[in-house]
Amino acid sequence: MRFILSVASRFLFASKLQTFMIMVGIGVGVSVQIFIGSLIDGLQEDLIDSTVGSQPHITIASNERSELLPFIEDEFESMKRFDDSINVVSPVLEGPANVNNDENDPVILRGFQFDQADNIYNFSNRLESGELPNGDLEMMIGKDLADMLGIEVGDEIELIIPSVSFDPTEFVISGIFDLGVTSLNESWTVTSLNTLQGVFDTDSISKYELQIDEVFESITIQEALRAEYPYYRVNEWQSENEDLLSGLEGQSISSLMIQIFVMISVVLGISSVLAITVLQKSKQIGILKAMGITNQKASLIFLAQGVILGVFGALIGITLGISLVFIFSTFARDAAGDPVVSVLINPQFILLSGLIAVLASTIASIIPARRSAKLNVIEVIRNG
Amino acid sequence: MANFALELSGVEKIYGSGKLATKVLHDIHLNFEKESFNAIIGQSGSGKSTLLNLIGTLDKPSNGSIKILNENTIDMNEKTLSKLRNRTLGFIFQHHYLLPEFSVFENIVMPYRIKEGKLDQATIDYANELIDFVDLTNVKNNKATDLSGGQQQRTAIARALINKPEIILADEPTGALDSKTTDKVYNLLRKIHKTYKTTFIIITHDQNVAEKTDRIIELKDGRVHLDFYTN
Repeated sequence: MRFILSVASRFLFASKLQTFMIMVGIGVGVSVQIFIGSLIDGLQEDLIDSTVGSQPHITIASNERSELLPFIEDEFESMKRFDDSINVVSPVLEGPANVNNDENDPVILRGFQFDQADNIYNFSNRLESGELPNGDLEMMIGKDLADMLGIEVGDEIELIIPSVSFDPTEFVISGIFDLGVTSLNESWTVTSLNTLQGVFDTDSISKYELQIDEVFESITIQEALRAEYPYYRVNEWQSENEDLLSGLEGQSISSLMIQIFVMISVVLGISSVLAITVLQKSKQIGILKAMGITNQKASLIFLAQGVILGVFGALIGITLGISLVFIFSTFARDAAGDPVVSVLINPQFILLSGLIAVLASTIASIIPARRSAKLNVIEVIRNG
Repeated sequence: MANFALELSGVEKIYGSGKLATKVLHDIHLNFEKESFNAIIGQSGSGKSTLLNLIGTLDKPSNGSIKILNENTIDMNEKTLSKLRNRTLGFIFQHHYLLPEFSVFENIVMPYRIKEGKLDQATIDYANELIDFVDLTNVKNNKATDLSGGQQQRTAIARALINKPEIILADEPTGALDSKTTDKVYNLLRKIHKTYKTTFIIITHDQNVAEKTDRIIELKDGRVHLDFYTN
C-alpha cells in the first residue's frame, strides 16, 4: 500500500501545476459548500430567532374563546416544572381598549408579570425611554403609538375599556418601548398583571405564554401539555407559522441543491483530469505492468491519486471556506456594526463537506482507475 | 527432466478474426536451455517481437503452449502472470521505458518494490552493486530523464536484474544506440550472463550483436528459418 501511495504521489508531484490546479478546484468547491452551508444555517438561525425568539412558542388558554382562566399559583408552579426545556411560563391578561381621543385609536391592553414576560419580550432592553411600569396604573406604550399621540414619559393616557366601563381610565406612562415590529408598537399598551387584574376586577388571566429551549420541539411538548391539561387549549408556534417554515425548508433545499451541483462539477472535473492523466501515464503503467504490477494495483494507483487529491483539496477548501466565513462575518456589517448575518460555523458540517469531497474524488477516480487496469502493455510498448 | 528455462511447442499467433485474420507465427517449437545466451533475428514483420511478447507473457498465443521453468503459462490468470513476470523475467526494451518521475536508483529497485513493497538493506546493497556493475554510480540520484541514451539503457538493464530473474528478455536493446555504445551494452550483457548465470534471449537486427551470442534463431514470415549454435 505504501508503494502504491508513493507511486501515486510521485505521479501527482511530477506535474505540480496540474495537481495544484485540481486541488484548488476541489478546494474552491468545498469552500463554496462550507460558505453557503454556514451562511444559510446562520441565516435560518437568525430568521427563526428574530421570528420566534421574541414570541411565545406555546400558549395555554381556555377551551372557550374569550373566557378567562383561573390563575392558580400551584398550577403555575407545576407548569414551570412540567418539562426541562420549558424556560418561561408567563401569565398574561389582555383585552381590547381605545384611546380616548377623536379617532378612538384601538389598542390592546396587556398585563404581564415582568419577571417572566421579560424573558420572552425583553422589554428592559427595548425601552426607548423611561422604565418598566411598577406602580399601580403605570403603563408603557410602543414608540409608534407614542409618536402618533405625541406622548412622552410622565404623561398620562386615557383609555376607554368597553368591557369595564365607557368612562376613561387614566394611566401614567412610565416608559416607551420599541419591539421592532410596527404593528405591536402601535397597538400594545403594557402594564403589570396586578394593575390590569385590578382594572378588570378579576383574579383570572387570559392565557399562559411559554418559551422552550428547542423551538422545533414545540409539537411534542404541546402534545404532552394537552395530555396533562385536557381542559385547556394548547397552541404552538409552528402550526401558526407554516409559511415561514415552508420558506425555511425551501431555502434549505435550494442550499442543498447548490451544494450538490458544486460537488457534481468537482467530481466531473477530477474525473476528466484523471482520465487525461491515465493517457499521460499510460507509458508508465505499461512499464509497471511489464515489471509485474497487477491490474488491481495499477488501478489502485489512480484511486490513490483520487484520494490524495481529495484529502488535500478538502484541506484547502476547509481553510478557504472558514476564512471566507470569517471575512464575511467580520466585514459584512450593517449600519449598527452588527454582522449582516451571524454565520454559523458547524464543525460537523465542515467535516462532512471535507469527507464528501474525499469520497467524491475517490468516486471520480474509479473510471480512470478501471481504464488503467484495462491498459494493454503490448500497445504501449509497440507505440513506443 | 530437461534443463530448459523455456519450452515453446506449437505456438501460433493470429491477429484479427474472419477474413482479416493474419497469422503472424506458425507452429513454433523452440526450447531454450538454462543459462544460455540466445539471439533471435529476422526482418521486421518476421514475428520476432510478437514471439518475445508471448514468451514474456505480455500476450497470449492463439495456439500451443509456453512453459517457463516447467510451468505452463497458458492457463495462468492475470495475477499469477504478473507475479511470474515480476520474479522470473526481466525486460529490456529498445526504448528504455524508465519512469521519468523517479531517479535512477528508484527505477532500478521498482520491480523489487512491486514484489515486496518496502526495501530491505540487502536489496539496497544489491542495487548499489548493480549500479556499480553497470557503471552508473555518478548518476544514481539523477532523474531518469537526465541521462544519456546509453545510461538510460544501462539503468533499464540493472532494473531487469534487481529481482534476480532466471530469464532476461531484451527487445532490440541496442537498437537506439550508436555502435560504440552498442558494444558497451553488449559486453555488459555478456558480463551479466557470466556473473549471474541468467538466461538471455535477445532480439536484434544487428548482425554484429547476433554473431556474438551462442545461438542464433532466425525467423522468416513467422516460421523458424534457421536455428544454429555459433560455436
